[in-house]
Amino acid sequence: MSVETEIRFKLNGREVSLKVPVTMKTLTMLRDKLGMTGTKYACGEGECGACTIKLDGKTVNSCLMYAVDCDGREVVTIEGLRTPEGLQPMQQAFVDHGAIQCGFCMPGMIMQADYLVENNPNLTREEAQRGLEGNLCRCTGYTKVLDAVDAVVEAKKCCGRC
Amino acid sequence: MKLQYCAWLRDSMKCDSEHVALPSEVNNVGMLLDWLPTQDERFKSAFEFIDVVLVSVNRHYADRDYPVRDEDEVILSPPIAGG
Amino acid sequence: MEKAATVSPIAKTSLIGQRVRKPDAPDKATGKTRYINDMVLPQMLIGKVLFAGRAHAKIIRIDTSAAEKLPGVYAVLTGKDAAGLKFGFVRDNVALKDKVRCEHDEIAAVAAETEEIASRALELIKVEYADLPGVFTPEAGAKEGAPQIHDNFPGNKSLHFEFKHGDLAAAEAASEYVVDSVFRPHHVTHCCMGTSCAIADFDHNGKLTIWTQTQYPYNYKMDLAPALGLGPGDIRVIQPPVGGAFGSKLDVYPYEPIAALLARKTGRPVKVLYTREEEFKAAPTRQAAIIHMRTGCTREGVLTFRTADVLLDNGAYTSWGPTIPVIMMRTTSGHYRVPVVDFKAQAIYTNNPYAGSFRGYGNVQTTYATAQQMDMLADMVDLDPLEFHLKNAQKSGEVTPQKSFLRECALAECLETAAKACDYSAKRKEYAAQRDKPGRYKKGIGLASSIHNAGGAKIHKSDGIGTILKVDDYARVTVITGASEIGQGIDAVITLIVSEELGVPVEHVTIVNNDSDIAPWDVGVHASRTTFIAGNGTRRAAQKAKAQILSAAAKMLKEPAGTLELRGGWVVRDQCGTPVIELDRLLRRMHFQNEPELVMVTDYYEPNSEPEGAKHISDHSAAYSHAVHIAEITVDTLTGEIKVDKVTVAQDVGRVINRMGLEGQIEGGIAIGLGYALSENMRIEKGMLTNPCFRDYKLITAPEMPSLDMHFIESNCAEGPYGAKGISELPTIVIAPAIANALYNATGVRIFNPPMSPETVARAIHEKSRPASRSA
Repeated sequence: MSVETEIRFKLNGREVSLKVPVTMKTLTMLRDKLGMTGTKYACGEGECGACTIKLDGKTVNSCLMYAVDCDGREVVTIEGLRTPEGLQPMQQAFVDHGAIQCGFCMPGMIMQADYLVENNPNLTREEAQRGLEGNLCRCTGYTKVLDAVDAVVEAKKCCGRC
Repeated sequence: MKLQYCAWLRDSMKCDSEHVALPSEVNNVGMLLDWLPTQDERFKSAFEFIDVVLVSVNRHYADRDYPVRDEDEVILSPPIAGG
Repeated sequence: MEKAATVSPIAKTSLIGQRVRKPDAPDKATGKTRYINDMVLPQMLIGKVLFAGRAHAKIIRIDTSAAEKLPGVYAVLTGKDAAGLKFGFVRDNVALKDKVRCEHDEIAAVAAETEEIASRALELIKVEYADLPGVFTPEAGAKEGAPQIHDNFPGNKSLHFEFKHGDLAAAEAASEYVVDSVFRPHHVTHCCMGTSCAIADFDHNGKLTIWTQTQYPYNYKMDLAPALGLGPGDIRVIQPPVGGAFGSKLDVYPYEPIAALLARKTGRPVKVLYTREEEFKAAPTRQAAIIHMRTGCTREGVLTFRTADVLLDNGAYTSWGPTIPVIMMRTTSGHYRVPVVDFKAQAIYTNNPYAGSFRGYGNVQTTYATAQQMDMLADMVDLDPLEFHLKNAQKSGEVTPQKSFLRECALAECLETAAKACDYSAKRKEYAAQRDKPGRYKKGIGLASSIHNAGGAKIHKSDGIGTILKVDDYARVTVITGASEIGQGIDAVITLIVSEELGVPVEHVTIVNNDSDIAPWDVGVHASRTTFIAGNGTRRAAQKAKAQILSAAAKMLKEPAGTLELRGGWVVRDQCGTPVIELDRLLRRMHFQNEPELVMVTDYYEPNSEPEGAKHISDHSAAYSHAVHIAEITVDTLTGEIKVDKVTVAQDVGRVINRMGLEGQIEGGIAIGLGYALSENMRIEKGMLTNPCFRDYKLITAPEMPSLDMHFIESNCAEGPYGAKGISELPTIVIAPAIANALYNATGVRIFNPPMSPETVARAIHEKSRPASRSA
């Protein structure tokens, strides 16, 4: 089959090294080779956002990037978001606001929502809507997702450490 | 008596409808459904799940106790799903 | 007697109407939940399907020899391996085909070690076809001499439905105004975020275990069995978490018996998982139809009759799409008070993709017609439009021509509440007056309502549910229920009800509902029935457990019978709330006494409704419900783009149980309806889907969701759990015609053929403004 190569990168804070086929996408590497099934396949074409991960701090569609491009970089997946104590604020807000129904799109949605707030503490609801335009959801109509994001923005304003 | 079959029963019975001569002692739906498999091999396998099939007598929904006579029309409809 | 001296009295509280978290949400938020799509079993092989890629053809020859030789391939199956194993409502389908009848017909299937090898194997399969002329509309399929798609369905005739009530000729004579229109509700698809997936494994006793996304696990066994030559009793159905369903998993589709046939051949578990492109092409669609509808009313605005002549594009095989007339006729005869009804529907086979169930099931299509015709008549009669709707709105206690008994009917209240909340009548007048004035952007407001089943739907002899409930030594409750969780939140409702009845925290309730070997019967998740049916079942079971517990407590603690209650994890005296013993301590006493007593109860709940006979006359649901949507839009008359600014929703929910879940279901239902109304469209050309990807099939995204002003009308349904009614299809049903009516209000243009895409709207606006002489 395909030519393989060794890559080494940071995954959710830990060093990882493995051999991957050069044609393998990051999404497939995460799910099939590393057992990290939190990141989802829902289209494989970069249209739905279910495969969203963070690469060196910026969100990307992991279905569109090759696994070899992770070499030497920092990858964070939904599994790496939680704190040692449990759910982190965006995850908790999604739970508390009823933003999760079937949940299949939610890892990507949460990754993207978290990234948006991280980069813009004054995120408005309209900015959140536009920022989440690339994350498709069929269950929720996005309303409670946006409520959860609003709540996190508000909470951050209150003490700046949440 | 006219028996009309719907849906997969047509496939099992190999026809859309047929006539049977009802003996006088068969006078309700339950007895009819028990009697038919004794008459013809087709009924034996087709009626394995007859209990889920909705029965109408002269287009009225009928349970096993509903009376039937030879001049009635009986429709057997497997159930539909929704969404 | 126990004294709990340090615990103060516990007041009665209620979770009904509160916001309760969904129990599985934390695991879903952290990526911990393993969906069926994520599952890997030891020794598992990957199954892939070779689709025909053409609409109508004979299969001359299939050569699988090269595929079979590919290293890593364990099985290659074709039509001969499924010959005679007919399945489907009319037994017109087999897992692997002997003839091509639509683009996504399954011609061959491969099981291999990896997806890559399986895909490569598919490429090595050589199929020789002889193309046949295709049939791509129901009109063409019905024509004399049309190509026959199935040998045993002459004239391509599929299902037929009829319902008539009253003297149509007399009603027409009595009508001052009649509207007569043809609507063409189109093909859309569910787009579940989790693509179709099944994992099958046989044990060496010949019993099949199938991990499936099904929403109807028990009848699924009976429907799957003939596709495999098995008895239904030899099939174990396991339901892992799924990424949506929305009705798409209410039937057996070929990839499921294919997974099982591959598993049987290889002796190993086989997983079939669709790519998104395969999902678009091969998953069932919503039923497309041509609806010729006429509605009449007197000069005073009283409805006189409604007729509907419906032609359905059956597609290549009969799944649940062509059975939607059963609900279409309920809307035709029951949407507002209609004294005379004439409904007929004919499904015709075509070489197009075929339809299954989809949230709203025929009512989406029908209400798009009825609600627009009501709006059209409202303009013709000399009445305030709201008055016209109210005049024809049924009241509690009325019975429709099909015998739907509207025991608690809140249509009028929904109409008044919604209209008042957004100043409907005044805005409708104001925007209509602006219609022909110059200006690129036009505002519009549109009202639509509908009626739908809200207490189950007795299309089976049994519309009931089994529940098994146990309470253990630690006061932890397990509910073993037939109700499936597909993301809609029945888990939250069940934990809420148990907590409400037994006074335990919601976190102490576990639900087991995903294994047909364990859980008892339920009809399935459809017809907006699950909260009503499973809610009642859970409540009844919990109350049985409570009765047993309190009886034991009274006896043990020498309290008078009937004076105790369960609150906050305690057994308390009902009147004053004084705690007498911790619930868990009591349970251990019950268990570890001389004659041990465990708390294990069962319940079977069947709603009070009647199956339909062939006449289609029965009270086939235990409750019915209404919703009203008023959509406020801004239309860009240059581009045709519709921006939905706000939707006012008034829905008869019976009683709010889980407020957060209820809101979420309405928001999500509206989003699906918005996509149907504005942007989703399967562009099928000569049977081939030309837009099988999210780039070209447009779903509603976050920026496009309007703000929602929701009003929950609580009609307190006598039979519903705590008074609740089913709710989740109405939001999808009502939004599209509300927007269509708003579009007319804004621009004078009506779109009878959804979606109201920018192109369609712009073209209609442009044509309307052309000089009249052009058409002479």
